[in-house]
Amino acid sequence: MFIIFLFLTSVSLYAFSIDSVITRSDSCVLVEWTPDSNNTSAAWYLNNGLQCTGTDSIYRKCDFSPGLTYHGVAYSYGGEDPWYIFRDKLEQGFPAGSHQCHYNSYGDPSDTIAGTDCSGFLSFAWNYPRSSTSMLYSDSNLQTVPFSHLQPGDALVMASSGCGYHAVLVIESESLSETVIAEASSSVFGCRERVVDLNQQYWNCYKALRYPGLTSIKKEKQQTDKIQLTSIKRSGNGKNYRISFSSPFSGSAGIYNAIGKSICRKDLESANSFTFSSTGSGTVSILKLVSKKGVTRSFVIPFL
Amino acid sequence: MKTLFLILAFTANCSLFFAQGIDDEIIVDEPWDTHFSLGRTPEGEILTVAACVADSTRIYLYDMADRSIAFFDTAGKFINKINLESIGRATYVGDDFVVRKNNAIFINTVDKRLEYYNLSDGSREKSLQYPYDYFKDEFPERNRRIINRIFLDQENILLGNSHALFDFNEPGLAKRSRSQKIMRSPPNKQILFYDSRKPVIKESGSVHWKGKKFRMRQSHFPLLGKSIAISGEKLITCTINNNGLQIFRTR
Repeated sequence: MFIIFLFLTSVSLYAFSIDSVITRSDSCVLVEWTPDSNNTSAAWYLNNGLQCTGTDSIYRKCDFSPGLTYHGVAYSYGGEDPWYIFRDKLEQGFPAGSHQCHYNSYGDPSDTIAGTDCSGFLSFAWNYPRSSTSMLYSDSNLQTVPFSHLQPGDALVMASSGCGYHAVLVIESESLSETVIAEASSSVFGCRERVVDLNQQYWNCYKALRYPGLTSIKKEKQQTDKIQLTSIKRSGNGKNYRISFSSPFSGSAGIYNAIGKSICRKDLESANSFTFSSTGSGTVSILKLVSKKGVTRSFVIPFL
Repeated sequence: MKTLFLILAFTANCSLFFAQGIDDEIIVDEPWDTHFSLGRTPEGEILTVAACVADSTRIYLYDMADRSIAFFDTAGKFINKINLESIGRATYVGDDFVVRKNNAIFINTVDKRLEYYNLSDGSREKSLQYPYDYFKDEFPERNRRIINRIFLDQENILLGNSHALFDFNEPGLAKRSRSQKIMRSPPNKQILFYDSRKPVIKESGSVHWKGKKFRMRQSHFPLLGKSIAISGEKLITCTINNNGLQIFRTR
């Protein structure tokens, strides 16, 4: 039963949804870290061929202080580190954040700075191919939506010399005047969450973009949770099975043995039943239904 | 704490009966690059005036473009600027702040800390963690759980947002006292500035204060912290646009 419990628990983790985007964002915003002297070495930036573009001398060194605790993945132009890679890099002694000291080309070719930039943060949260702010702004795979239709998981992106370049993730959009966003911000050198008023003119520079690959799983979860098995019938030579559901289901249906080994898998479209052949042996099998948006429902079937 | 709620509710109700316009005058109208600049990070994010505070003798502006506090007198005359010691985040030291005696106390919402600065020389005196999940079990909405505002009341620090506040137990640091209550704004109203005698609230885009109602002056660029302050019996409003900084004061 313990194995079954593990299996049933683990399958639900594969669902990727707006909820997962928010969880990923939270992980980058809330991560706590304490740099040591290696992570804050000012000499590192000057000895590794980086250009410091800031005009103020405060930009020419890492000014996180060793021994102090900070929140949120540090800002690094061109970086794309999620929180766990960020922490790994710190442990390996890489500097925290680029602090306006950038490589000549976009990004961190030797991948030796710990941190992320705004588009790297958004790409990670979306589980989207790494894109720059300008690429996101003109990405034809993304859908432009009016501000009035914003929903959690959408992005706000600006990319022009007149306005600036930035991308943020919408976390909550109950009202335009109190929209909650998360971002990797170069003005605070890290990932943060805050409340903004999208009615202010400043936000006119931004375009609201939706990644169509993300949809809310709430409705689908409700539907999937309602599904009951109505019958399990054996036919033919005794190795063919037909399983019927209480309501139509679209997605994949898989049969697994008690230790999670796949026996068979089928894609279903508005199906009330499916058939399969089994040559396996054992006393317990598991039927796993995975909806198109990744909602998982599992049943224990003691019939093999 | 119940008093706050009652006062807020009373003020809101009064405003419905005594709504009228309030005259204001512009006391600061500075183009950029006089005492402030419209800065940008090399990546293109805006850096500018981030919060506006006042007491009976001074108006204080936190300038995030150069990590400083600017001082004006209440007539709008520029006095001076002091640079603030870094907390390790470039020119950011907080979203909002209050002034108590010779301290500017910032709320650093990124690291969930209060940063105490000496107003004479800009040195950072201490840093305290605040209970950033204080509203975790109180509100389902995130915008009401985020703590991004700091107010002073009888020298006590209140933390919260435009919907709710709590008394920050400074000696007890991050510990939540069982006796502490959460103060909530009345429904459909937001706290713009908290003062137990005359809170300033926002309702349907209008500002309500001392039984009067007037339109909210909009800032082109958003301030991270408060844009409204009280000096004596005057209401101060700070706005930023493409041309520069403007500060208004009620007559």
